[in-house]
Amino acid sequence: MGQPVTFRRRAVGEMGTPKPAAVGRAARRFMGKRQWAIDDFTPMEETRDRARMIRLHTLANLHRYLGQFADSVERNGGTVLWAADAAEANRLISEVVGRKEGSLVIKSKSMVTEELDLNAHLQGDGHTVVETDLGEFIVQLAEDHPSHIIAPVMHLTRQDIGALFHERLEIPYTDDPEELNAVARRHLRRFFLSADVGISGVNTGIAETGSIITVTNEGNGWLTTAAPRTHIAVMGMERLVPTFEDAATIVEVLARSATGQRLSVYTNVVSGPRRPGDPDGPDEFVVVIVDNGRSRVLSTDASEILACIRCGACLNVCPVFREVGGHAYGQVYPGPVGSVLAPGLADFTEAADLPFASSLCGACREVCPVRIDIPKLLVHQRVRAIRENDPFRWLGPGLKLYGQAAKRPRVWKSLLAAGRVAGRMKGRDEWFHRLPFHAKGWTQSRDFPAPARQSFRQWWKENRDGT
Amino acid sequence: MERSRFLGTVEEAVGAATLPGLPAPHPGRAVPDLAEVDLTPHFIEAFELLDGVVHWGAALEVITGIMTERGTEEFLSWDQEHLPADGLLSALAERGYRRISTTLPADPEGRVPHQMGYMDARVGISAAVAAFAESGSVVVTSGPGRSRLASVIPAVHVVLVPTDRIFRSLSHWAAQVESPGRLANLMVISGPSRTGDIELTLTRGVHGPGEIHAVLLQ
Ligand code: SF4
Repeated sequence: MGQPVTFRRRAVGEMGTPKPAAVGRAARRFMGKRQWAIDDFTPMEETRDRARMIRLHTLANLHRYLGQFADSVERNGGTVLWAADAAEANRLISEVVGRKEGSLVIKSKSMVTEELDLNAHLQGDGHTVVETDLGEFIVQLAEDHPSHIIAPVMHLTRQDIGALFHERLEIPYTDDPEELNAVARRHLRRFFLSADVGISGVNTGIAETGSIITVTNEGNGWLTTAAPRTHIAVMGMERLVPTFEDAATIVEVLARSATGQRLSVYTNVVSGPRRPGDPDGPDEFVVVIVDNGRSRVLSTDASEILACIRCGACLNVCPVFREVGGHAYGQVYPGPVGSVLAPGLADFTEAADLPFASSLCGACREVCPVRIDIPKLLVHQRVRAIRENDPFRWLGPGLKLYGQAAKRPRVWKSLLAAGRVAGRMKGRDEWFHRLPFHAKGWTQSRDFPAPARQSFRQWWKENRDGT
Repeated sequence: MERSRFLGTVEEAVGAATLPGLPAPHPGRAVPDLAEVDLTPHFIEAFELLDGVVHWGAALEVITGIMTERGTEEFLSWDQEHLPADGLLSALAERGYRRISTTLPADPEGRVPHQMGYMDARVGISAAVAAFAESGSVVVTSGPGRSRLASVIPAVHVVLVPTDRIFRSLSHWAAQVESPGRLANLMVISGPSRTGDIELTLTRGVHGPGEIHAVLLQ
């Protein structure tokens, strides 16, 4: 990865630092002594197999590990709350936050709180909620929804962001990423240091130690769990492993798969409130364990999807996701993983179309660090959609169209064609707005036009051929 | 919901689950089997790859250099007894640098006003309880005399790294470390804070320190 000159310059002290021990000198002192390639430390294929076994083993014994986890959290001085669904989770979290009226709540990115629509709930109760992940902070300023698990503002240009900051934060317009970054840092720092409650997700819980891990590159996950008096960790019930060693394997695989890093910048392991003698840290630690459809998914033939470690790799390789973006899925979990998971988590009819938003090209299975057979699970969900949802039986022809789409070089072109054919089939243009690309979030910020009945490409072809 | 009802539902679902590879045994402990080698050069290489800055010894000079560059006389720090550089804090005090207290007042109401005092802190000093050669990471923990915010709030983090604390990787260390749940917080830091959220352009220091300096100590 390229290094901005400005940073390197600062780091080596060209701005007037004495150089007591210049960069690289220590390194050079040891060069030539290297005894193996660094990649040998963690052989990737074996580690993936390990990660998969750990995840499947945990799922197959989930009730036991959840019980052990809860015992460990309590032993560490924390509290565990159990939420069967989103409504209960929101109520429980609200009760903790609401001990103080008008609390200031800081959050670090988590898909599970998006799933709960927690922010709206807390704001409705009169609390101020600030998203601290830079991407989500921007999203919140734009009152939008995240479109990608790892990089939530992929769909905004820096000019968009500059204009947004200018308008909402009342600063002079700039579209320089470094400056925008600095503005966000200054702005959010105040919230971190003065918040009453920090709410994080949980990337991985550890049954044996009662720990929760947050993984971020920005450090907001750490600040959220370290600065406020109360830390609430919201955990999807499947996000667990037995031991610290297992968790290490998971975060090593996760970082490589999500962003190609060996580890994310901040792997934050929190085990309860601050201990006697600790100078800082939260006084109170609450874990909210959320089912919200997960036990339903676990009991189906799509249960394997719960082994997912949320790396987002399957999104990046998915030709459909790449073309339509995350918002088109209309669900918190987009892309291949979301297409399997969302119909299980949501009321099935709401997301029953999603398993069809894939060309079954298999790229997601190849890339998945825990080797989840996503295409197979998609087919299971399709079968289920057709079996259980009469209104969707016409999706049969849609399936064929996707099959064709996958064979073509430009998937999007084909999908547009599919949309047009289906639009004619249903005899109404607005079909495209609902199915198969449920475009709720997208249409709020960017109008997503229904395709014309005949594209220029098609028109040209027909007219040229006809003459 | 009651714990027992929640877990009952999960148990039922587990019974019905059609997971591949059932009964899905645990893979067991990873038993790394590699020869003893000097990991220091590997750590340095990985740390620098992340744009971390490596120094060798001379913690006092490194820190005063950074303070001068940053134009500040204040810093956050762990207590001296947890820093593997003898007399560092008193030497800094002698040179006129002021340590901002990172110990929260006993009254919970005092937390926010106290923490707001860190707003302009630019340098934080702590020490690694472990470091990883594979990923160029350093591990800091909470505990008496060991502030969490000292490592994460300031723009520049200076971490003292005894070379005998360098392990191969996080998972190698995890296989050896005893009861990590004993400490309220354990943080594995791999390079400066960064984000790619603005058009996937890499920028540093969005929340955590934008610069990290490792002072290696033998
Ligand atoms: S399904 Fe696999 S590739 Fe997709 S996010 Fe989950 S772990 Fe990553």
